[in-house]
Amino acid sequence: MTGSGENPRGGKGRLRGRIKMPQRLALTTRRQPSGSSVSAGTAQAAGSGAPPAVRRRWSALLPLAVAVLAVMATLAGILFLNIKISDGQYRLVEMRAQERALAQESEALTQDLEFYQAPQNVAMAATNEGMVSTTSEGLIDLDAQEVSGNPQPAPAAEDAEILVAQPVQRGSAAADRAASLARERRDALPESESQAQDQLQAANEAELGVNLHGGSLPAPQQRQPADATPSPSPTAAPTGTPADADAAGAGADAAVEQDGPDPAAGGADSATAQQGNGGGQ
Amino acid sequence: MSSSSEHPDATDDPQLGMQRPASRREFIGLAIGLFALVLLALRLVWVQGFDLSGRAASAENARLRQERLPALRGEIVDRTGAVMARSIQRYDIAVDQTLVQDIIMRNPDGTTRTVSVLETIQNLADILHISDDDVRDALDGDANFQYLFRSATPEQWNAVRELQLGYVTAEPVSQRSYPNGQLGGSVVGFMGGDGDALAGIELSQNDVLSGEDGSRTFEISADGVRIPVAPQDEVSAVDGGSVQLTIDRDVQYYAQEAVAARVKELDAEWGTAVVLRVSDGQVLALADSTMVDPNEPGRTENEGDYSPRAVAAAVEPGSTEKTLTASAAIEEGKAEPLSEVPVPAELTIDGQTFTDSFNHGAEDRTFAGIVADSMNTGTVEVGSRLSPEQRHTWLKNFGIGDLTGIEIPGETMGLLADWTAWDTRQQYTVLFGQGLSQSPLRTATIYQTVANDGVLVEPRVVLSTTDATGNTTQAPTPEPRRVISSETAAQVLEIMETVVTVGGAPDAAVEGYRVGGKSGTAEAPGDQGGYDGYTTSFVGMAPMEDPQYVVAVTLQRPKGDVRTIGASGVFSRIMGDVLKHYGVSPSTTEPVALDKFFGKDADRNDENRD
Repeated sequence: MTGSGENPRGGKGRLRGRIKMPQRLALTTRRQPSGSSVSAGTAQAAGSGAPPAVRRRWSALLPLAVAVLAVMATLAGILFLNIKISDGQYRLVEMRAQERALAQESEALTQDLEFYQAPQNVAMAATNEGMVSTTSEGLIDLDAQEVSGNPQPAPAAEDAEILVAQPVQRGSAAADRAASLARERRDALPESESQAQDQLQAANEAELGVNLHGGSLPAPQQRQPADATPSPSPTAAPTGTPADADAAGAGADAAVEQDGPDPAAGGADSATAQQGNGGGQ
Repeated sequence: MSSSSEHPDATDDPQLGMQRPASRREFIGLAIGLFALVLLALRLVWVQGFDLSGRAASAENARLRQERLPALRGEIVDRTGAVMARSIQRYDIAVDQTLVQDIIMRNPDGTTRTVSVLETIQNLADILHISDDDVRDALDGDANFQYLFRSATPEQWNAVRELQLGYVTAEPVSQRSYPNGQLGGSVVGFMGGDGDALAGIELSQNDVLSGEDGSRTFEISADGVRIPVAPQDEVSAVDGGSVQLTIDRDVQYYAQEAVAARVKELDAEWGTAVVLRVSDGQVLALADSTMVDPNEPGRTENEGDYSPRAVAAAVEPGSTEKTLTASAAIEEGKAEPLSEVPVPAELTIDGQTFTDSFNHGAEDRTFAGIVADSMNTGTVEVGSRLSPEQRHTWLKNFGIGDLTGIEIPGETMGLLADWTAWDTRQQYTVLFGQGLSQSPLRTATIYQTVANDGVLVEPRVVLSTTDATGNTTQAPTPEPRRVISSETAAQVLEIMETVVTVGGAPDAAVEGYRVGGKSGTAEAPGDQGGYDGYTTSFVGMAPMEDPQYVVAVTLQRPKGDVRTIGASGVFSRIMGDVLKHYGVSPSTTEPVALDKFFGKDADRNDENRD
């Protein structure tokens, strides 16, 4: 049905109405455009023999049908809304749970991340990788276009032990791993207290004879007597990588082997420190 | 449509008209019906409107649930934004002991399995990492509510939930997590088990951090699902703000590691290091050899670990106080760095005899030479040119005996008796830092004053606070206060540098930088009165051409010979790390080394010069 086809017909109908067409005919022609009532209209037009009775019965049923339809539509609408709302409610609960799970996961990961970022843990990780702090540095001065200083590679394995304890972080997998590693390492230290005491004394004696002349860093070669004791060096375990620590724990051989390169690095400072630690265990 | 709906009305009219002549019987029936309706309506009003038996209210109460919406506690971050304290989600797991019984678990395939209580106990113990006995004790009894485990991680609670135990419930709680643990632990502070702030910034900034709890009221249906259309009230929580500290986590680490190493080496009781920024008194580090791990404060062995010792411990400062004496004497015009002071082998004044830590004959010293080699005799000689009242006034000027006002609870103001109460000896010993006590932080502020052109800025550890909506408020900065003139400060700085270049503390030198400072060794008062052991310290600043940082190191009761237990090496290590960390350019100017001698001893001036 196109609008253009409708208009002339509607206009004709109205025109006929004005020249006293019977009301029913006018009604019929007016109804023609609306599709649903076409059959009704034609039926009424066809049954012109007893039209009022048929029409009355039909129009008596119509409000009832409309009411029933309306009630049903309303019920269906309410049902639909209800389903929607409770569905939304369940979905909300589900999403909340999902949100919580994700938040918890993110929290656990943040905890791990921040554990790794704690300076003492960074230092520990660096030590495990065999990194040492720099002892001298150069300077590139951009303003003066100058390079100054005479940086030297730092001697291996100094500052082996990190004294700031690792944070206790329950619920962080990273912290749990680090704690078990620390336990392993501690267990790898020598158990004998008297042995540790001997070395401590030797280290102290060596230190008294040394003049550092204001230098803040121990001069390695002067510290050699401290570590030249025949007993296994306890510094071997903490200075090594975790694998080394295991080896030292497994047998004293590994520790003795490390005795060679160690004096260059250990120094009385760290020897004292670590023996103190060993004695404390 | 409208026309068709009019017709039925028209046709119904006659029918209605036919019903109107109602019989008497029908009328009575109708009246009874109406009466019943009225009764029902009255009853309805009675029940719903007046609700005398409270049924509607109790029904509503049964549906109503009120929930506390806990405010999230704010974070504490360091000056770089690294998190020092944050809140994380944990669960307090509780049991209803009256319901403990064997559990019938339904498998997905429809079969069932009975899990005995014993098995459940073992499962719970495994998940929660506690002993079977603890679990059994928590389950055994007839209480409706008993905590089984507090602060369980979400993982643990999920695992417990999978056991499908009807009698186990969990309440989500917020717990504090301190990612850096011991590092700066007592500065950050910690919380008690019931969520009360107990120490440090957590306590002092509790108002900013805690926020305000909200609440939510809603109705639930019988099956526990929220009724979506029912009215609900919600007052949202206002989350706590975050606090940014002036502490730099990395500097804190350098300081803490260095001081811990030295304390271990000397088997000292404790050690502490303060790093201050000269220009504004901001505290970059408050490091103790051991600090509490706020994650588990209960593990701490030493009570002193609970608050930063630099703030809470009062110690006799010893010779580091000579800097204050020198500042006062120079400011009052009683001396200059190169004033000539003949120093006897031992000095007797008012019947009190003073000696030095090293043996010497009568020497012709400059004032700089006296301070450089930390001579008590010469210091008393020069200091006694000030009246006792002046000495007291100058100590007060530098804030001795007063709080710095740093935002950390438990600060000590030390002990400074009024000068009228000083005994004959004390009036002289205060000149070299004995007979009075102060916090290491207070000692550091003396050097901050000298380094800052004579202007004291009280130290602060809170940089700013940020509320939940993101508005940042800078913490109020204390009013800078001029204590000594700029000229005096410059002269004292030269003396400080002489201490390191040709004086008694060559260990304090930092390669590449001009450094100044002063060492101190004081006898530490023992618990049973008298003195017992030493307190050694070194406080200094760098770079001397424009001092930017002050580092103060204090060691309590180090063991060993008094000449080998100093703190200057630790100072050097920390100061070196600080200067490099902040990218301070190495000094290009020549270091100052004032003459220490005059007259007959003048030829000894080149002794320690390279």
